[in-house]
Amino acid sequence: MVGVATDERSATGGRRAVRLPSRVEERLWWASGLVLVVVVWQVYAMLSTSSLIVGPWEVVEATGDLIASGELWEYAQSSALSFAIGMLIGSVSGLVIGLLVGRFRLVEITLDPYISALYATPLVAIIPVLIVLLGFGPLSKIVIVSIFVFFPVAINTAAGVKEVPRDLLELADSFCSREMLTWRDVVVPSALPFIVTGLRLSVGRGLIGVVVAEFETAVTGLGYLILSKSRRFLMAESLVPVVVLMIAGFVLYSLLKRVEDGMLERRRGL
Amino acid sequence: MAQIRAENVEKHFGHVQALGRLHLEVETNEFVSVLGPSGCGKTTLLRIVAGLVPPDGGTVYVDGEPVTGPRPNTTLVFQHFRLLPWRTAEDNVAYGLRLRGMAKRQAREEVRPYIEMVGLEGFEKSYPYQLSGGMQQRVGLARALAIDPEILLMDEPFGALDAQTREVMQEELLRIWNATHKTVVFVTHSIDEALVLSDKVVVMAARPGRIIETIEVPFPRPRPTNLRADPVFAQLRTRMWELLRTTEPEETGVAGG
Amino acid sequence: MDRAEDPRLVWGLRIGFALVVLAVWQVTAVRLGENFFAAPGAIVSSAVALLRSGELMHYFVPTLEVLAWGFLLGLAVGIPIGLAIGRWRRLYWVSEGPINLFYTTPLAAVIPIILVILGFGTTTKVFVVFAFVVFSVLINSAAGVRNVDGDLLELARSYGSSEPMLWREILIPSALPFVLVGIRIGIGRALIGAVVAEFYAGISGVGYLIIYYSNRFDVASALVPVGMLIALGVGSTAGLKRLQEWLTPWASEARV
Ligand SMILES: Nc1ncnc2c1ncn2[C@@H]1O[C@H](COP(=O)(O)OP(=O)(O)OP(=O)(O)O)[C@@H](O)[C@H]1O
Ligand SMILES: [Mg+2]
Repeated sequence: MVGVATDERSATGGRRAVRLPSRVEERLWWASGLVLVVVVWQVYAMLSTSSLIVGPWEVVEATGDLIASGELWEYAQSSALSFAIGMLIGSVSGLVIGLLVGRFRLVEITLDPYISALYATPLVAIIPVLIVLLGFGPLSKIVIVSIFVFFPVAINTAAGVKEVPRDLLELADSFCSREMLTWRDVVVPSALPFIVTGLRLSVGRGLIGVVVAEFETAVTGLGYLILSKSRRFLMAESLVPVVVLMIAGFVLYSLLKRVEDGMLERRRGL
Repeated sequence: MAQIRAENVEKHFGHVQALGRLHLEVETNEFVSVLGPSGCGKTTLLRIVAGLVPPDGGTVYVDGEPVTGPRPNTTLVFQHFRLLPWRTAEDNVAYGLRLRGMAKRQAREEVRPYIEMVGLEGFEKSYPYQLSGGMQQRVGLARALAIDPEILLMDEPFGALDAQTREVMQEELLRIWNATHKTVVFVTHSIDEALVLSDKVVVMAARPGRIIETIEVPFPRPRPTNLRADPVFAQLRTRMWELLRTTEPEETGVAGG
Repeated sequence: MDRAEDPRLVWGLRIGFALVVLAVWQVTAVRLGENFFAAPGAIVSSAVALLRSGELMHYFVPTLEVLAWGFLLGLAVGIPIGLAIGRWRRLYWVSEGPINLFYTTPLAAVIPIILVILGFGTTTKVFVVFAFVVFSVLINSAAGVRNVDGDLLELARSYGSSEPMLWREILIPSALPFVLVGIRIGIGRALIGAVVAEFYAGISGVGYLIIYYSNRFDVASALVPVGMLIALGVGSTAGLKRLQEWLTPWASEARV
């Protein structure tokens, strides 16, 4: 009889069986991964002879400086405002179009190919053009963010509306519910997790939109801060806004992810 | 000496006691059926005998040696087929041979008789999602038979088949078993099937999963097709039915035996 | 979708919509200044001019090269590492935090800094495309392996599968739909990375062409390379869908 080497994991009855100790272990590994990145970065920066390679500690110091001088706050505010307004306009219009596309077959037939095509396009390409047309003010940034946000929200909303269970729609019909009420009671709530997915996916795109727009307009905002500092070879200071954007993206993404998971969980519980 | 011997086998899943101090012996070349209500631990028993999960207590011996992992001489026919979705029917049947190092083309050649045996000619190139449940089950069956194991553990292998196909498959199984001297442990929900096929039927009860009765089936082989007309058959059938009907779950935590 | 729809209706609606949009655009633009507001007619004549002079191709080919290199590098690094991370859970735990962090970072923001460090050449652009591609491929490959059906792992064990055969028969086919989704997302990101990198790094590529004409307020000409990019985006997405259908006939689209 040949003893076949067994995979320890499944021989103990699957991952479930070793839950408790492994969860602690998981946290430890997870934390050490982040620590490792910071340490490797710091050591690399210390060993490097180039003044262009800066370590995390220098970035922390630069953050202190930029906060103290009020620069960071000023530029972040400008970016955040454009981002928020653009997000709002883009997601509301994406929502409306997405609902129409999802619910009305004729609208879908008409618009779907164009929406899909533009979704597959690197829209950053139109940023310089839009700035020429709309000027160097916040209007350009807002329009750019709205466009970037529009597509993921519209596409996911439409997908969500199409996933609305047929029997629920029939139920609404059987009660002679008016179209508007059906939307309120059935369509929107049932598509909501998809809409949140769209929002989640649009956060990253929106941030790219703001930053690249600010590279181009070069007047204000975190993007401009990155550009102006890196052009003067102030590497540590140029990394500060990057970190801010990173945290903003990560927090918004995780937040929406949590909302989404919560919704799906509640739904499954029903 | 018994080829399979399970001693005091216990298994828990969380607070569910799937098996409690179970004893089972299966002789070489014996055909044993396992009968029991849903959730009584039949699948769990087969997975332990196959070496896929270790028992929490007790030991299973095969050929006198304790089971520590899967063995090449034993094959399990899974209850829910477990076909590879990305392989065609013939490549699924050839899976075991391929794992033994056989080249793809030769393995396809080798499995042709098994595909014919389970009646799937013409569907060799179909993917599992293109097959009905019964056809998928026959693929799983052919896959297990193709590697010609000494011990065949079968978890409701005919559960998804229609009555006619089922009878054909039963006959095929008996023929193979006779010709190749396999040892078979056969889980089923059908009392008739157990009686028609087996040398011995063990009846299980749930919570904790345990064997409450072992019944020798006295009919000589080859068995006639009108076996069901035999008064002894009717008698055994009634007895098993009573056994299954009256098995109330014991209090959990009490070791059965 | 389930009813067979009259193709005349379908295409009538689509083309009609496009015509209405173009007409409104043309009329407005002509009123406001044909070249500055890039009337469709003006774009077409700019396109013809750019194609005739060979300028468009001259700038388009370097973009394709950058894309190809960055993209292939991203696949070559992202797929194997992603698969490994998906298979060994300690590796997964260690790398999960950093990878998610990098994935959610708007990488475009780092481009000026990369530019200072790596210089204004092709290296920078290839690196940027690589960085845009690698994480989506990596994350999806890992998800694919982790998503494998535990029952099939048990099946493999019961037949005494070796690790290489496990990869070949179960893990890789099971991960493939996810890897393809990662590649599709990666292509989209690669295009973004290439364009933004070309805005700032050097004087080649369609990104540069867009900037060049924008700075001259020649919007009609600036939109011609944008049209190329739309075609490239749509074409590659459609191509990948095909590849997906061909490579994974058993699977409907995997969702991550
Ligand atoms: N992996 C597992 N995790 C948790 N509980 C399990 C697991 N496998 C089995 N059980 C539990 O153990 C008990 C026995 O399960 P098993 O699958 O062996 O029953 P069975 O006799 O094969 O039932 P059926 O006839 O329905 O197939 C059940 O109560 C089941 O819920
Ligand atoms: Mg079972």
